Amino acid sequence: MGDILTIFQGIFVVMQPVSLLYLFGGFFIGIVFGALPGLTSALAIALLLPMTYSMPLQQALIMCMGVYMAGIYSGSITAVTIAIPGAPASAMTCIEGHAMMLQGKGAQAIGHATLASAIGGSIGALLLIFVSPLTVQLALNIRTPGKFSLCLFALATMVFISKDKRKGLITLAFGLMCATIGIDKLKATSRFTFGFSQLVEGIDETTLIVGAFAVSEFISQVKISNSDYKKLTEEADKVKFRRKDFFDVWSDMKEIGIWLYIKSALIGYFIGVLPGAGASMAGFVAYAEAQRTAKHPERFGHGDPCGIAGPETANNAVCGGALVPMLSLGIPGDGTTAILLGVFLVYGIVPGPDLLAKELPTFAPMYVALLLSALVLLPLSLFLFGPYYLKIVKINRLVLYSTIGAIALLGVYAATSSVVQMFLAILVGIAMYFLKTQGYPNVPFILGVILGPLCEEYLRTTLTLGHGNPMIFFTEIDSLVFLVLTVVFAVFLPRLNRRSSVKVEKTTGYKDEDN
Amino acid sequence: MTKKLISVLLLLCLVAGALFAGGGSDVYPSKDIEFTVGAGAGGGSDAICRKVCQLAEPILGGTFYVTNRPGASDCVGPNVLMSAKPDGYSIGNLTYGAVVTGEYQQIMKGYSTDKLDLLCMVTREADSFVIRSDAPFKTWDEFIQAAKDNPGQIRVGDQGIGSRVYLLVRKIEQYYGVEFNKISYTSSAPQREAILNGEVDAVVSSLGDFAPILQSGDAIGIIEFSEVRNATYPDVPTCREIGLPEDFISGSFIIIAGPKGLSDDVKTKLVDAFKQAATSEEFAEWAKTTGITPSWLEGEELLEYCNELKVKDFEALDVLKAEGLM
Repeated sequence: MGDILTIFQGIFVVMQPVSLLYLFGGFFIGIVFGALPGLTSALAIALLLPMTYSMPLQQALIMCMGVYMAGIYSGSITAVTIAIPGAPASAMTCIEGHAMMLQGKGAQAIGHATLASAIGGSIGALLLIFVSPLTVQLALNIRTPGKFSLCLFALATMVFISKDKRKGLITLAFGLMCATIGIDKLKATSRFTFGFSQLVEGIDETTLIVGAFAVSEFISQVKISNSDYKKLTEEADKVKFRRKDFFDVWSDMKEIGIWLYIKSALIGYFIGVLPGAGASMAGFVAYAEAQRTAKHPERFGHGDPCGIAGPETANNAVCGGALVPMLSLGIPGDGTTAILLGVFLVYGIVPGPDLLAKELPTFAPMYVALLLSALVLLPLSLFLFGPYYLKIVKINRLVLYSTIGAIALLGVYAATSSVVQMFLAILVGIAMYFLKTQGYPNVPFILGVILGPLCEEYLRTTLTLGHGNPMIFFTEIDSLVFLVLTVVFAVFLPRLNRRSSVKVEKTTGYKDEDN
Repeated sequence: MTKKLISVLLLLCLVAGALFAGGGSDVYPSKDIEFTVGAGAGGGSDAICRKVCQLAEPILGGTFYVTNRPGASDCVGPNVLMSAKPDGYSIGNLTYGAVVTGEYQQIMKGYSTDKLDLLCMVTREADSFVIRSDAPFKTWDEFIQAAKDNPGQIRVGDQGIGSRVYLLVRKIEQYYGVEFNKISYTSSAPQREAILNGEVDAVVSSLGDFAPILQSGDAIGIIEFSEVRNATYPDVPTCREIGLPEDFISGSFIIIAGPKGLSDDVKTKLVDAFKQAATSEEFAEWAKTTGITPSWLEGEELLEYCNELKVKDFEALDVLKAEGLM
């Protein structure tokens, strides 16, 4: 009971005006960094790192929580409005969200994304507060073989939910190949750099996202004439949005069902707890699961709110989850928590199980701040800024895209301090543009580059564990579970897709597009 | 309205630009100094560098700003330094990987620490073996005995083939005539996880890297490859006490360096500032909480240390290469 009391004391710490100011400030920075492609919440916290030295630890953590929660959420804003996700975690939201936007339901799409993020973020934070010791034990049961199978599961489902499986597989393979460029992490030799020492760093995640989404979108925009663009956005323009419209999603939410939210939040939280994975993987898995269990899978890809609710709930639930192993084991759950660990180190604090028990008063405000960001600040920000989000598309196209392009490429530089990465982003963008025009989906490519290195590392480590015998993947229970899941999805998803494409063509008469 | 705002902002930018351009005198440092950390933001090396910079700032009378250039065995950052202007406004750090692995492997063509002016060493982190606290063996001798009884069955987590700790594990195998199942991980974070979830029987890296699980009692250190016991973990015996030869001493370090050709004035100023910072009481206190050992080396001593290390470990790496392991 003493713990609960401490948490309540934490509430008072956060409610102090100075703390609130830091929380709001952090949250606002997070929104901006998350929404702009190329700038991420991890980068925001890295840039704030020097500032945190001169602040009390509690307030530094409160601010970071605001940045973290907002940064993962706000990628969905640009994903919905202009089809360029601001952060990798929102790659899936882009598919359904932008489809809704084109149908003039942009406000509802953002509303869904925000409320789902609020729900996911809150559940994640609550689970962090109340059941983290338990989940740490659970996560420790998943060892390297299990992690490999989990990656395999994510990669396989990504291929299965592509409309054209062959093309999905080809882009995935292309992504996995690009992932091998750079240094061999387990052997310290360079691979596929063709004598260019600049390629040793490989393709950074930011480079990839900026290239695959932002740059390729610019090229697509070049091909669209102004009159066509007007027609495209006319639908969205016609509707006058009022603040109420953003929250006018209750009926949809009832249809989506509370179960999907809870399930996605659990998926997100648990993937967050597993060190190595992260918000993007949570989004991918939750999207696949939402589609598998959807009542109307044929609507996926054409603006189904379920396809926003699932991944958005999951990716924000990751925040709570990723903090669990960082606080209790000192092992960061994702990129942002890795930098947060640095904040601790600077204050001379070594995270660990007993520290969590001893220093709960230090961390309680941080927990409260995370919960508050999700539960109150997300909906509040929507209420305050929502109408402006949609006005983005009313900005002159030339100004809008060129500004975003410049910021995105500068973001690549800020994240990697390397000019070569900026050029790589443009290269990736050109490649993705041509793949897209040929009907190759871009998400498997991204997943391939993000998960490829992890997959390789886990595979090689597992094989040495089993003295080179791959049977270890079947004898380890955790690994077997994910392999079985992969098979289940492999059987289910293609069936759904087949049914969906037939239905869509019959009912609407228009051709099925690739996502 | 917006137009007015924009013009005001532009004017402000101009004024600011004029102000900043106006400064600049001959006394070093007259502007901010870039410190390139060869590791990611948030890691152990990053924390050490930032801390020591923070403490050195008031002494030097200048400001450091840290940029992180991680990757390629900590060589990306130093590689950037090699092509920087030797005016004293770009310095950075080197770790073991940047001194030995990077130069031996030639991950980047022409990479050599000879292209740098090594200023000083600020900390050292000795390697250690860490095991689960509920393992059947409790001491170094019992551990080696277990390895002798079960050849190839004891799993030891290292940091990749050819890494510093990998070389150390091989040296131990040869010395005792045992064989471990060597499992590679990318860094100390997955190593910590592996020891906690029982995937491996022992992991090798510095005690500071395992601080969270050592303090919680989930794991214990059984040997540290250093000359004197670690102030934070005084219960862990050193390799010297155990009776291993002197050349088993192994570990990483943080060396501060700049591009070759720094002027003597700049060198002395920087070394003095870092010396005061790294030998200060505050730094020692901070280091103790994280299990890092402050260790000061400069000038000829430092060069000698690096050269000896290179000769010794290049030999071991040559053997690996001959065996086809790399």
